[in-house]
Parts: sequence; C-alpha cells; structure tokens
Amino acid sequence: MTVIALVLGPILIGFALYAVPRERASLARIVAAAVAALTFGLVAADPHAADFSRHWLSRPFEASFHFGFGPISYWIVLLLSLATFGGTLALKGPRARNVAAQLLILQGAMNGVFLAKDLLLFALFWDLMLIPVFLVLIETPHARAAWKYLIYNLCGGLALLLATAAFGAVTGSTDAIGRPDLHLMIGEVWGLWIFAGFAFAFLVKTPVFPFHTWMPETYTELPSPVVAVVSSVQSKAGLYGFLAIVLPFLGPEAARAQTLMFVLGMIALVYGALAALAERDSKRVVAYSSLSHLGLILLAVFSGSVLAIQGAVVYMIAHGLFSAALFLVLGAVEQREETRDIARLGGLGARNPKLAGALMLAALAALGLPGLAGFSGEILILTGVFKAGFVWPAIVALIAIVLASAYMLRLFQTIMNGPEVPDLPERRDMTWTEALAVAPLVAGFVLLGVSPGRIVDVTAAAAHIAVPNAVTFSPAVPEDLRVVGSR
Amino acid sequence: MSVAPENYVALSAVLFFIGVVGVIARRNPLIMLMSIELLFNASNLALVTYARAWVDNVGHIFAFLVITVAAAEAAIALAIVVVTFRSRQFVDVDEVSALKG
Amino acid sequence: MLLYLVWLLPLVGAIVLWAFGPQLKSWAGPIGSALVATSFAATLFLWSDATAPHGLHVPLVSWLAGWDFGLQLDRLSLVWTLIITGVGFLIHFYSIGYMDGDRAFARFFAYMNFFVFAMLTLVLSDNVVGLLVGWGLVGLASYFLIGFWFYKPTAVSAARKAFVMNVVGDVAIMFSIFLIVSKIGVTRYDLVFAQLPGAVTSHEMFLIALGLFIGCAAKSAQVPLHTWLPDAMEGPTPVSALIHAATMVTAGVYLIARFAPMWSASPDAQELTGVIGALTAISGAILGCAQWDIKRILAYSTMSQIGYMIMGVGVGAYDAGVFHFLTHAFFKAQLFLGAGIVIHALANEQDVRRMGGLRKTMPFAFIAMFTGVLAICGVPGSSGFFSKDAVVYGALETGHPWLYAIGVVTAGITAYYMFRLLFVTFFGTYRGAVDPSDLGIRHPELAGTAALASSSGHHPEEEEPHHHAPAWLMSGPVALLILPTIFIGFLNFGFGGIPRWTQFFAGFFPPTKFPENPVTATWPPITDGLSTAIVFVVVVIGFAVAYLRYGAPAALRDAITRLRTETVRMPGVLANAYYFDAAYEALLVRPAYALGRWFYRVVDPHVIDAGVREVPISAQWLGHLFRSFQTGLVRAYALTIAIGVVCFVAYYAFAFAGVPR
Repeated sequence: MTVIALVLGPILIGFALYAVPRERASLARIVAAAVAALTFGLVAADPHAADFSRHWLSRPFEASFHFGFGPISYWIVLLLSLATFGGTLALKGPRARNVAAQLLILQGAMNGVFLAKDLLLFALFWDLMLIPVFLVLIETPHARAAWKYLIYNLCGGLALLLATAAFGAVTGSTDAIGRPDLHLMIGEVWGLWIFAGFAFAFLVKTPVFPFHTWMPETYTELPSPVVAVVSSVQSKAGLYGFLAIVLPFLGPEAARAQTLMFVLGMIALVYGALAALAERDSKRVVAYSSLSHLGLILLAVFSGSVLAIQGAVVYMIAHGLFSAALFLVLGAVEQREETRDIARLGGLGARNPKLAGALMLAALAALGLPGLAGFSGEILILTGVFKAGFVWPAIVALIAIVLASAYMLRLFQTIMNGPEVPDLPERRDMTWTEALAVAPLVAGFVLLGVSPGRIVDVTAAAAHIAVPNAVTFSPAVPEDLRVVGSR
Repeated sequence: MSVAPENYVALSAVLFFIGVVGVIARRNPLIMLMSIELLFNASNLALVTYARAWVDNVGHIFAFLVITVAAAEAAIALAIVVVTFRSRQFVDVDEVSALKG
Repeated sequence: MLLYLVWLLPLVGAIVLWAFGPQLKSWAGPIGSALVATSFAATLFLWSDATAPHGLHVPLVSWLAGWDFGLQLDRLSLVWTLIITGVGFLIHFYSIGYMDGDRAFARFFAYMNFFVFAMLTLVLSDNVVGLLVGWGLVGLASYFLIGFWFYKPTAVSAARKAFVMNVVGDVAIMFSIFLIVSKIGVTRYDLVFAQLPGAVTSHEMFLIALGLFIGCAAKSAQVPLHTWLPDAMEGPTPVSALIHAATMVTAGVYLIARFAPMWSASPDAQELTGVIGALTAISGAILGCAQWDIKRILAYSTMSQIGYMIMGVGVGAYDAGVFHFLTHAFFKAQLFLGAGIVIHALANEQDVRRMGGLRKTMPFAFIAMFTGVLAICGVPGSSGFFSKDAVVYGALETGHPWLYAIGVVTAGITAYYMFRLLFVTFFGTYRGAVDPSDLGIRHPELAGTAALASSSGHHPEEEEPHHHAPAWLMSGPVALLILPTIFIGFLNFGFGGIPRWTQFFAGFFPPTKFPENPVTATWPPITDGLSTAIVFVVVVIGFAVAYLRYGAPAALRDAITRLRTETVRMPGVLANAYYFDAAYEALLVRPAYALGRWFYRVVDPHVIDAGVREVPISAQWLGHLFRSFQTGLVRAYALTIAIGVVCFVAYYAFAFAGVPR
C-alpha cells in the first residue's frame, strides 16, 4: 500500500489544501512540507514495499494499475520528496497556498510516473504531471511560457502515447517495466517506430538540443520553488524513460540510434555550457547548465557501458540535488533584490554569508568539484564512456567540465563578490526556513559525493536490467557487456 | 408472377438519379427536400429488393431505419425552412450561405 | 588511526572555524594553528610506520569494485606531509599576527585549514582518484584564499582564473584516469604500477603521462598554464607563502615523483617534462627581472624554482627534485613571510620602487629576506645550494646537456633578480614619499601599491594595521625558518639518526637511467665538483650585475632616476609577461563568450524557435486552403457528395470487376 499512498496521497492532500483560506498560506506551506517529509520517511523506511497491482484493461492489450519501486525509481522518488520539501518550504507571496497545492499534486503525479510499472499508466501520469506546472505558469506575467511548455510537452506526450499503444499492440501487454523478456516480441519494423516515439518524448522532456527551447523560458517564469522541483525531478523523467523502457526493450534500436544520440548529447554539452557562460539571467544560466549536464547523461545512457549507466544514475540524483539547491538559493536572491540580471547584482556575500555559502556549495557541486556529487557521477560516466571506446565524446565532455567551472564561478562571483551594489532594496541573510529547505539537498550531494557506493550498489542491478539487451553497442565492445539477444 | 430484381434496381437507380439532380439543380428548399425524399426511397427500394433477393431480413430492417431517419429529417429540415423563411422571405438556398468558411 | 587524525584534523578545523567563526573571534587563529601543529606531531609519530618498506596503509571508502579508496603514508608522502603541516603551521602562526584585526579573521583560518586538508588529501591518497579529489580541493582552497578579499574585483577575477586554469589540469588528469581504468582497471598506485609493463603500450603510457603532466603544469604553474600564478598574489601574503612553499604549486612535483615508474617507462614523457620544466625555469626567471611588485617577483621566482623541480623529476633525478622541493619550501616561506613583514609595516605597499633603505628601519625583515635570497641563489652552504646543484647536475648525468645549460643560466638570472629585489628594497633611501610618477609609475592603483588599499573606502578596518598584534607573532615563525633555510641542505650528508638524502629514497624510485653513450665512455663529461664551480661562477656574475645596477653606491645615489628610466624603457613583451594573458583572452575567452551570446540570442529564438514556429504556420496555410472549399452553398456540398459517391462506387466497380463471386 505504500506505493499507492505515495501516488494518491499527495494528490488528494494537494486538492484538500484548496480548502485552506487564502490568507493562511503559511499553514498550507507547512502541511505541504510535512507531507513531503512524510513521503520521504515512508520511502526511506520501506525500500522493499510490495507492488500495488490491479487489473485495468484486457483489450486491446493487457494493462494494469501497477505501481512499485524499481532500482532507479526508488532513489528518484526519494529525491523528489526532498525537492518538494525544499520547494514548499521556500514558497512565499500571495499565491503561496495555490502553489503549495500544485506542488503536492505535482509530487503525486511524478511519483506516478516513476512508480508506474505499466507503460500506459506511465503515459497517463506523464501528461498528468504537466497540469500543475501549467497552472502555475499560466498565472505568471508571461503566459506565453505556459503555452510553450504545454505544447512542447504534449507533443512529446502524444508520441509517448502512440508508442505505448504500439508497444501494447505488438507485445500484448503494457505491464512491462521490470519484465525485459517482452523485448523478444518486438520485431524490427515496429521496434524502430516504437523507439522513435519513446525517444522523441524523452528527448523533449529531458530536454536535449534541439528540443530545449521551452526550458529556459519555463525555468525563468516559474517561481523558484517550483522550478527547483521541475528541474530536479521532472527533467529526469525522460532519462528514466531511456533507462527503464528504451534500453531494456529496444536495445537494438538504441544501438542503431547511438551515433545520433551521441551527436545530440555532445551538442547539448557544449551548447548549454557556452550559452550559460554568456547568459546574464541567473536562472537561465542554471537552465542552460542543466542542458549541458543532461547531455552528459544522454551520452552515458547510449554508451552501453554498465559503468557509465551506474554513473548516470548517480549523476541524475546529484543533478537533482544541486539544481534544486541552486534554484532555491537563486530564488531567495531574486526575492530580495527583485532582479535576476547578474549584471545588476554584486557584493551580496558581504552581508549575506549564509546565502553566499549555500550558493557556493551548490555551484561547486554543479561544476563537478571532486568530493561532491557532481564529480562522482561525472567520473563514473566518463570513465565508462571512454572505456566503451568513445574517446572524443569523453574529451568534449571534459571541455564542457572546464566551461562549467567558468560559468558557475561567474554566476557565483557576480552575485556574491565584488563591490556591493548600493541601490538594491533588501539586505537580509537566509532565514531559518530557507536554510531548512536547502540543507537536506546540500547534505545529500555531499554524502553522495563522498560515497556514492550505496546508490551505485543498488543500481548495479539496474544497470544489468537495462543493458543486456543493448546488443553490440559500442565500437570496441568492452568485456563487461554481454552480447545478448538476437530476436 | 414475379418481376426480376434487376428491374427494381433499375427503377431505384433512376429514382436516385432524379433525386440527385433535384438536390443539385433546384434552388427551392421545398423541392430540394422532396428530392431528398426521393433519394431515401430509392435506397429503400434497393434495400428491400436485395433483402428479398437474398432472403436476408437485414435489408428490411435497414429500410425501416431509413424511414424513421427520413421522418426525423423531414421534421427538422421543414422546421429550419420555416424559421429561415420567416426571417428572410427567401426562395433561393444559395442565399443562405452564412456557413461560408 | 593516527593517520585519519592527521588527515581530518585540518578539516575539522576548517568546518568549526567556518561555522563558529563569529563566536570564536580571536581564538580562531590559535585553534587553527594548533590543529595543524597536532597534525604535524601525529605525522612525526608515524615516522617509523611510514618508513617501513611498504609504508602505512588504511582504507577509507569504496565506490564500486575496483574503486576502493584509502590513505597511505610512505616515504614520499611523508616528506610532503611533514612540510605541509610543519611549514603550514608556521605560516598559520604567522598569520595570527598578519591577519590580526581583519574582519574575516576566522574565515581566513578556516580557509587555511581547508587548504592544508586539501593538500593532505592529495598526498595521502593511495589511488589516483583520491589524488584527483585532493587536486580539485586544492584548487578550490586556492580560489577561496586568492579571492579572500572578495570585494576587490581584481582578487575576484584572479581567483576565478586560478580555479578555471586548475580545472583544465583536473580534466587532464581525469583523462589519464580514463586511460588507467580502461587499460588496467584499478586505481590504486601499487596495483597500477604492478600491472603497468604488460597492460599498457608505450604510446598509451605517454598519453597517460601527458594527461598527468598537463595537470601538473596547471597546478605547478608550468608554461603555458602559468598565468594564474602572478595574479594569485591578490590574496593576503601568508596565502602566497602557503601556496608557494608548502602546498599547491609543489603538487605537480609530487605527482611526477609518485608516478615515477610511469615516467621512467616513458622516455617521451621524460623529455617533454624536462623541456617544459627548463623552459619554465628560465622564462619565469626572466620575467622575475621585469617585475616591481615584491610579491610578483617572488611569484615568478617560484615559477622558476618549480621549473627546476619539474625538470629534475622529469629527467629522472627524482630524489634531487624532491630535495629541491624540501629546501624550497623553507626558503620560499622565509622569503614570503619576510616580504609580508615589509608589506604589513608599510600598510600594504607592495611596489619595491616605493620602498628602499628598509635595512635600517626593519633589520629583522632584512635578515630574513637576506637568508632567503642566499638560499634561493644557491650560495654554497645554504640549503638551495645542495638541492639546486643536485637537480642541475642530475640533468647532465641523465644525458640532457641543453637542459643543464639552461639550468646553469637560470641560476645566474635568479641571483640577478633576487639581489635586485634585495638592493632596491633594503638599500639606498626610502622612496615612499616620492611622487609615484617620478618613479615612472603611471597607474598606481594597478601596480599593487598602497594607493589601492586607501582608496577602497568600504572596508578600511581590514587594511589599516592600526592596532598591531605583538611583533613576535610574526617574527617568531620567520626566525624559526631561518635555521632550516640555511641548514636543511645538510640533509644531503645526513646527520644524527637521519640517513643521507639519497639513501632515504634508496630503492623507492626507479633507478636513474644513464644514457648509453658509446662515443664518450665517460659521461657525464664534467664532474660534480666542476659543475658546482661553474654554477657558482654564474651566480656570482648574476650577483655582480645586480650589484652594479642597483647596489653600488653610484646606483643608489640616483636610484629614482634609474628606476624611472627602467620602468619607462621596460620592453612590452616582459611587462606583459610574453602576452600570454592577452593571447588567451583573444583566442579562448572572447570567442567562447561571443559564441555563447550568439547561441542564446540568435540560435535559440531565431533558428530553433523559428523552425518550430514553422509548424503552426504551415498548419495555418493548410487551413486557409481547406477554407476555400467551405462555400456555404448547400448545393455545392450536395454536388461534392455526389461526386464523392460516384468516385467511391467507380473505384469498387473497377477494383472488383474481375473478382468472381
């Protein structure tokens, strides 16, 4: 029952929050944060919770309401509860009650995405998780961003739905995640179409160049607490899809698309890094940096190396933690100074040492400082990619890492260092709630950086589910890849 | 004595053709409605003919269905004609083109 | 267990001082220093464990199979650990006096402790990934300390430059790690070296060494990745001492010494390392002759001396290179701390043109600097004499006469610019009251003069040494350093229970390879003694030139005119440090920014989004097309239907014409 509670609980409580009077927004915030903390406890306490499964459809294909922890999704769900906790605590302003409710609904919907074991259910929650974000966006001054977000992601959602339907029609069941034997039933003709549908949906959601233009707009327009959740977890949905659906079921197709995906990933790496280097809007800097970082994970996914995929899982969690922390802190800065233009900010660190410290830590994790989580993910991914025979992609990624240190430090220094800008409105260091919102995230990426072992051990299993069908992947087939599965 | 089905079908085709020409060529809505009735009945005739020829009652059932649809259609169409006639005093359907895209 | 303590105490200090700095107030300095001192003492306790054949080894964490990390203390890391904690302690202690009154006193010690921790991570790690972690943390620590006065834009950009250049080195080391893990599959040094000969081709060996060496070049300020080092002088002076003497820049020497088996197995890597080291030694020395900022002169001298060390370990004279590191740690700390006393007393004046005659007012600083200068020049008997000699002669011994020549010439240049520094600063008359323009200083605010300090009105309390801490806090460590600065070189002979230096590392490094030269049976062509004499003569020449230009009575009398002439006539190529910065700016930095701006201002909105916008636009066009069919004429619709039916019927009539019932 734990898993179904994780999906339905936040959604129901989220709707219930609308009953709280608008003026008592802080009550709504606290309730929402408590729910997030509770989900964290629930997940952490019971990692072996039984699956929830009820029959749903028998025609035209088998489908069921099947939720359960997977080896990757378990950690993402934990991450999601941390991010939601931080996001709800950091909420401020007149619409705080509504946004708190939307955040909880978003959490429930995303839990649905990651816990769904049935592809149809996955597709259902995939579209469902757009709604709360859209509703928050549409109330911001630039409603255009809302429509852009919705249209891009619905296109992806449509592709996903079609691919799922085709999958069901071909294999006879969509209750598939964790059952890689179904891949034997996918023929070559349909395999390519199904792969194309899934890949399009996942690439848009991640996003990867050239489908990324919705992201900077969405991230800048969303209130920071929401964007913290969206960038930290929603962007992982696509990558999770690649790992949990594409690789196990569509390995040969993935191998065929490898070159394309590598090219896209490398473009995203460099493109995002350079754009982040030049951007002046603080949230867009982080948005473009996400583009760059997620490109790295795409390389890992399609390298076909177990080591790289383990690294990818570590890096997904790491990116979730530090991007959430970055957005929360930048949101706090924005709230105080009423601008995101880093050229107009400066010298905040002198009066706000805690804020500066938090931003520093998050930026360091993002630029891959050895000892923090970004590094452990990066080095595992790149070693795996390199070992699989991809020398040049690894070198491109190394260049992107150098650029990452340049743009992250530029972001930090122009905001926090230098002479103080005199005419900014407010000078107040981090409040306790803000610190409490960020602290678990920081603790997370420090621990994960020092010892990713615990997570990686679990994901070793995940990697073995994910990879065996990824036939004849790399040019120089490394010894740790078994060549399996002629159909 | 029985008449060969081909004759019925031929009659049905002739009726149908007359109906089509009536719908397309005439501008008076009442005439057009009458032509549509011709179309219905032409198809009814064909249905019943084949039902008898192949000894399959589905044709009869369809004929009844068409009759009811025709009745409904007549009721609605006449109502529309009456309403538009009241407001416009028209005799020409070409003047009713508010649905132009 | 003690090893964990050695490693973690500075980290504990960093965290505690950072978190509780405001509460600890002036206790922060003593606490930070005491922790480093404890770490030093604990290392001494571990002496016998460390000098055992395989050293001391403790496990730490495990990421994955083959990715197990631990700490190890063997002879090599012992030398480094002792210097890091020992010299590091003296610098900490000195800083109590130097940084007294600074608003961020506790933060300073937190960073210093963190620096020591990072450096210990680097040298104590038993595997190459842990080394990289230390490598990155050292870069971060230098970033913190160089940018310590973070309201100064110059300090901020210098810090960022140092960090980014160091990351270039980090990723190069990452590249080597990829190769090591792919080819050998382990990361622990002993396992890597054990499998090295069979698993790696010589080409791959060179690539691994190349990656590691780029890391060294970035961290140890070797050409062409050295440009961050002079800018790093933006930090407080004790920071410079720590970076240059005990930590950071010597990491490259450590890395090559640690990977000695790999270097010895790859002659190409040795050649490259030796050449770059020699190049750095001489170019740093030449730039040292053209500087006016006392700390920048010392910075370039560090660059040059590290060049020596890299050359030494590069050509295979590992123990000589490490020996030079050891002596350099003492005399460079000595020089920086002495310079710090001067700078502190002159209210942050760093331009030697505005000093002069300080010998009389600050005799102690003079003695400190003087001993340091003697040692760095390699005056016989001083510590630098033994080590530099060993390095230079090592280059000859291993068959690199050109590197030997460069080393000898550099020694002369070193003597020239160090005595130039000494004469200009401490002899003649005080020029602090002279108008800067008379000295040829056009932009005092850019020249590292005190003008900057007094004009940045925001934080006067950090600049003004209004209430001085007791003088012994600063002079004590300097006085302590004088002894090793002069005498540590006698380790070369061994004394007391300590073995001769070369025996200390006997069997530790791969044997030095001497060239197989059939033509000259007697290589090296000159003996050690003759070489020493040659070096000494060159040093004396360097000193003589410096004396004639700056120290002779005639030169001292019209010092002001001479300094102005020299400033004005300084060749642009030297004043701009060979235009490295300008080249990087023009070739890398500006294009990267321009490309980035083009991406987000042009490509995103006007290419990708415009492309996406074509989709609805074409949908609209289709809509217009279909709209024309909707005439609104009922009869037209009827006609369309009729035609449709005809087509439909016709299709089936023809398609199934020949199909039998």
